[in-house]
Amino acid sequence: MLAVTQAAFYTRMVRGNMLEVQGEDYIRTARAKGLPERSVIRHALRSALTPVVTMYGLDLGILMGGAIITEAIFNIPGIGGLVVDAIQDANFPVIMGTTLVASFAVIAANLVVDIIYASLDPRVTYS
Amino acid sequence: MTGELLLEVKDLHVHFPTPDGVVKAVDGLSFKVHRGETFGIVGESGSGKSVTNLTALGLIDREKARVSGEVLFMGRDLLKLSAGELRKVRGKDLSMIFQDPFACLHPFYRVGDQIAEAILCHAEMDKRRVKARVIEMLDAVGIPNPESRYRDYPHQYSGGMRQRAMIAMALVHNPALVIADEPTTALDVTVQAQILELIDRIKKDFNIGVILITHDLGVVADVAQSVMVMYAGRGAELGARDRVFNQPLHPYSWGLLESIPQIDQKGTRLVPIEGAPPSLIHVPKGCPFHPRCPHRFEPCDKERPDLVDRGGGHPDACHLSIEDKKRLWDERESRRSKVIA
Repeated sequence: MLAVTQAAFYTRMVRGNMLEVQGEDYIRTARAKGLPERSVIRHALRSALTPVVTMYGLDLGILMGGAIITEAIFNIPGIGGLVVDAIQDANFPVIMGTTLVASFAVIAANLVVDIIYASLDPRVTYS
Repeated sequence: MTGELLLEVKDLHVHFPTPDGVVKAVDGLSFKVHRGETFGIVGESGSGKSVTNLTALGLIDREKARVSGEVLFMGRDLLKLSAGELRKVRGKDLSMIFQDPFACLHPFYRVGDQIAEAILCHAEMDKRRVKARVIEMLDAVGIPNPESRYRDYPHQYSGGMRQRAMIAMALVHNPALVIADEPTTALDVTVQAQILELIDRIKKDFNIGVILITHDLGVVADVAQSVMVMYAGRGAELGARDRVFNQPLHPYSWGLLESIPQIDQKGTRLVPIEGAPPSLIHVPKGCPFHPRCPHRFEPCDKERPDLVDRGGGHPDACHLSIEDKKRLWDERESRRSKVIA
């Protein structure tokens, strides 16, 4: 549900990036050496997707926060619903526990993004 | 000296319709390039040098441009080929070296793999032989330690090395003709000389034709055998290098030659060409150079001069009589040497 609305933004972003990348000189080089159009698009896509990966890492956090409201409204069992119940009951250990789980998820997601980013862009190194 | 005819451009027009009017980037251009020859194309920015060659390779957006004329490459008209057929020619028989080696290699792929890709898109070969071929080519263009450099990414290469890698990429299929579009503009002067020397050596070793596009007359004087001076999408003068440099016939060529700094002659002033290149939407009527030409006379703003031999030994596009041309050039030359004395 939440992912669907975001998918629209990602589509737009990839499209915008692709159009931008198409004008790059290295895409012209790829054409000049006679690559079939399919491979040219693969070249372009690789550059176009890197910023998307970064965005996705940040969005995961927002997705977590958004889940609280969605789950409460639609009465879906999940972390979001649990947090709302815990707050209403002033159940501090559960509030702390869920916050901890959520923060851990966001940090982990960002770490994964950083690692993926380094494997996508060879210029990025972590020392 | 000249071998078989490789490329013949006949009356090429490339027009781009825009909301402000039609940009006439190339407007009636003809020339020939032979095997074993370096053909220099010189002209100011926006004179149509690059567009001509991008058109030949089919790298301009065909939907946005109106192209007419013929580009015969080894007997085939490149303008009539379908996109797929053209792709088979590109990088195989006809390849291109671009201006900015910093932007022309994909930053995310290994240099060696990018060259390997160029091999594989025209030939079936197993991986080990492809790699051996890439290393051989890297070695041929003077990259040290080609085995370990194969695995490097473009950002680990210097500017000169990247241009060498681009040259290697252009040569993997032993093309008949290489188009070098300002290959040295983005490089240091010392590296420039090395790259030019490399292009010249490769031309001899592989016996290919080279089109060298540049706005640097010094570069052309060094390596080209024939020169075409372009102005506003047309040829202004076309001839053997020595003739164009020693007995230039077109006032625009005179201006270009006089604007070269001469380090061995103290006290000379640089002579710029007055005015700016014309807008390619509103190209002046008649001779496109006439508003900037100090020698213009009556027919210049009415009749468009064609690029033909007017008795000066090689083709030029200027209405002046051949006697006037010789006299005016001699006068300009002596005026220049007087300033030196």
